[in-house]
Amino acid sequence: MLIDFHCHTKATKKDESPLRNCSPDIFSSTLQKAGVGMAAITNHNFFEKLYFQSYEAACKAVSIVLLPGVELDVVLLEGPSQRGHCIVIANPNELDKFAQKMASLGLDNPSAADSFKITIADLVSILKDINCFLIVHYGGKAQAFQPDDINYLKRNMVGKAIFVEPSNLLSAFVYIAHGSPSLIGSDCLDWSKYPGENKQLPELKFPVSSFDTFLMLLRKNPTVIQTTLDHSKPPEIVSFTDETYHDLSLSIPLYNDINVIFGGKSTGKSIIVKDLSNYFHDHQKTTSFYAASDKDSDYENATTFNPSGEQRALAESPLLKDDFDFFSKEQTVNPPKIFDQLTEYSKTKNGDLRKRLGFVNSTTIFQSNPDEYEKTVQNLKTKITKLDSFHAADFERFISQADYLTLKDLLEKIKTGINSEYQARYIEHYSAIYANKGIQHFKEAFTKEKGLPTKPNSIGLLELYNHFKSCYIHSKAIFDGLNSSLIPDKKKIGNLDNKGDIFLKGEFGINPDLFKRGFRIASKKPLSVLRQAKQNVETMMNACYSPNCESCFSSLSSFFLDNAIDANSFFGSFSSLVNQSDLLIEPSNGEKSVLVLGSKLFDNKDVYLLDEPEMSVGHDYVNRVIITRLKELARKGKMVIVSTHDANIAVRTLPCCVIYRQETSSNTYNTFIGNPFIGILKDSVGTEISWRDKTLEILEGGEEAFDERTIDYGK
Amino acid sequence: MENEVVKTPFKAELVKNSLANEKSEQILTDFLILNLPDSKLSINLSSENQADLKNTYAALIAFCIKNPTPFEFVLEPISNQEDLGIFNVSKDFIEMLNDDIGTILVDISSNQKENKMK
Repeated sequence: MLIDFHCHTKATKKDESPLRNCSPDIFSSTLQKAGVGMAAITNHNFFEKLYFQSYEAACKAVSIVLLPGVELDVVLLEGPSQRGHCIVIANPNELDKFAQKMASLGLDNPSAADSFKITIADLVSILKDINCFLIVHYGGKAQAFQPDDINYLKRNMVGKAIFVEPSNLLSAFVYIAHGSPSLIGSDCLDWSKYPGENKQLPELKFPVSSFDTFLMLLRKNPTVIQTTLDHSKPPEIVSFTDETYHDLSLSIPLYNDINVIFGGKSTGKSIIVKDLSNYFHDHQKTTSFYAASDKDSDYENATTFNPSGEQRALAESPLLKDDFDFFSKEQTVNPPKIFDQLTEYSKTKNGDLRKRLGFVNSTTIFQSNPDEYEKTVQNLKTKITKLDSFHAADFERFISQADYLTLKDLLEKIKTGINSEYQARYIEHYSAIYANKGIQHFKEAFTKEKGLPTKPNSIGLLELYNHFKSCYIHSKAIFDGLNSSLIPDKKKIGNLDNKGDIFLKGEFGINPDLFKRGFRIASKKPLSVLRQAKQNVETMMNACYSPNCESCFSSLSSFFLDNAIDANSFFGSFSSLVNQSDLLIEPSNGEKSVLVLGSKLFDNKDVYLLDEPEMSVGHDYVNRVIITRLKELARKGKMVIVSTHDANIAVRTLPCCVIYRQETSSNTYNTFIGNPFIGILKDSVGTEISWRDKTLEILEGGEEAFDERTIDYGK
Repeated sequence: MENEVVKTPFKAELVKNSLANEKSEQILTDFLILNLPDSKLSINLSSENQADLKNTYAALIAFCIKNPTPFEFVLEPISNQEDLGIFNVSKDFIEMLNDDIGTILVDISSNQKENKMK
């Protein structure tokens, strides 16, 4: 939730913009729209109880906690002409007391705002028994307090929180990093433009519903912080052991938020990330895992086109197993030795019994095509199934009973018609089969009985033709498949600053003649073998109706067998990286990291495990993309575990859990766990270390380097 | 008669060849010559060489693919063929050949309509 402890709802001074005047309803709805959950009214030298309560009621209606406050003109220590602005924010439970104090100073009358001033000593005195905290203008902000004034307040207002308010949030962060509590508010001049141009309000990591809780969090009360944290985001206690590091038998509270692991080199941070990845994998959570050390192989994977099963099936669909199977069997069709039999039969004289027995002279082979019969029958069966499913459907709800009965009657008639056709086909098919068998049996029986040959059934021409035809149909089917075009594919895999959107452009298919250098062949068969196979198929296809059919068949059959070629041998794919204009892209080392990390960060998973994501990507990317995305994931309730050496990531993401790894002596390690809100990290025996000190010491070269980072924060 | 099939007759000649073997013993061999417009296909009825027969069939099928117009063979016998005892063989063979060719031509025609063939 956002907080805004510097709101003006009334232009009390002559030089103030009237655009600051704002009704309770507009005030509350504007804050709600901006996502503010807690705010304070801090008009210049003016506070009046009833006035405040009207705004408080409007805010309460939209679940915003409104605190009473005022912005006072304070005479600074340097001299009567030096003024500083001090915001006082009081506990709403002591509203009456605060209102009385303000009235005693004449601040319940807005006309006195211009002339009011109070010395710093009087300020201390008047606020002595008021439960409040202060925010003073500081640094580049107008009417700023000087360090001496702040020190005076700290000395004389022990127990009260005192914040400085610089001109922007980034400066506030720098002050915080250097130990000066800092807060900024909108100080809005025009409510129609709230919170104001380039204004960014501070965000509380956890929702806070009262002044007291807010103060306790400010004072880093460990119990309150831990309770708030655990209540807001119950942690998952993850226990694991690792054999590489004997001390790695840990139970870590991991939050559905950001969890940071940091420490010196070679202290097992990467192993913890890996172990946690395995843990979540075993617990059926989807994970996105990134390790800078695996970047190259991850880049290869991310930029290699992996066609889906569906895509592969689509490409291979023209190649049918039946077509290949046809050539995998030894199939020789030779004309029968008919002439001896025919010669003997031809000597049949008039009066011979054979002249009178029609079946002896029959060469009629009833045509029956099993494939065609099966196809027809299947087609009819499908029609019947469709009709049955139509019956099962609940269609009578949509038409009248009479119409439904008519429809049902018609459907029954159709079904009867289909069954009749099925019967006719059945009879026709099996009649032919049995007639052929019958004639054959009769002929054999006659020859056996009479010792005389009968007229042969066939001279073999038709059989040879059918074989040629099968060869042609199967080889043409394979060749047409192998001659098909490649199928294109293109998907966005990331974005590079100076190159725009980057796409992985893929091509896949089964035509080996179109495979260029770099194509990946799924079956791992050499391209030359696949091309030769295609050529042999083409030769077969062209020789089908020629005397060479037999030799081509043998050659193709042997080639398929020797090289284990089947319908799954030909699939190949190719990929390249291109930009929006389809121009080839060759990313630099750092850009490769950006692409891989980007794909991992923006993948939709339950848990994100990142090992040194800052490596090779540059500070700008860390600040602009990584930190922004990690915060976004945390807001969505995703678990992020990040091992890092980068202060920006470790600090600015405000992790709920911090794990610090330390080498205590040679090959002996210690693990400290805590969070930055309490500021203390503890090991298993309760030894405490400061989160801030370790952060400054370990991350990116220590405090000196940390100071230099203000340049980056300024960006 | 829309379905009337017009058949073009081609000649099939029954030829008796004399081949001399190494011992100069004369052997009479019976050949059936199928006269196609672009070739002569011969079938040695006596030796019944399967490879020869297959090649002849293959050439015949190739011709049918190339010229899918219905045709039949009409046997033109040599003289006194009946005395040689082979006339009936040739006649029966030609009859069966014509049946098969008819079936093949119908199939080719229907397959060409379905675009399954060249």
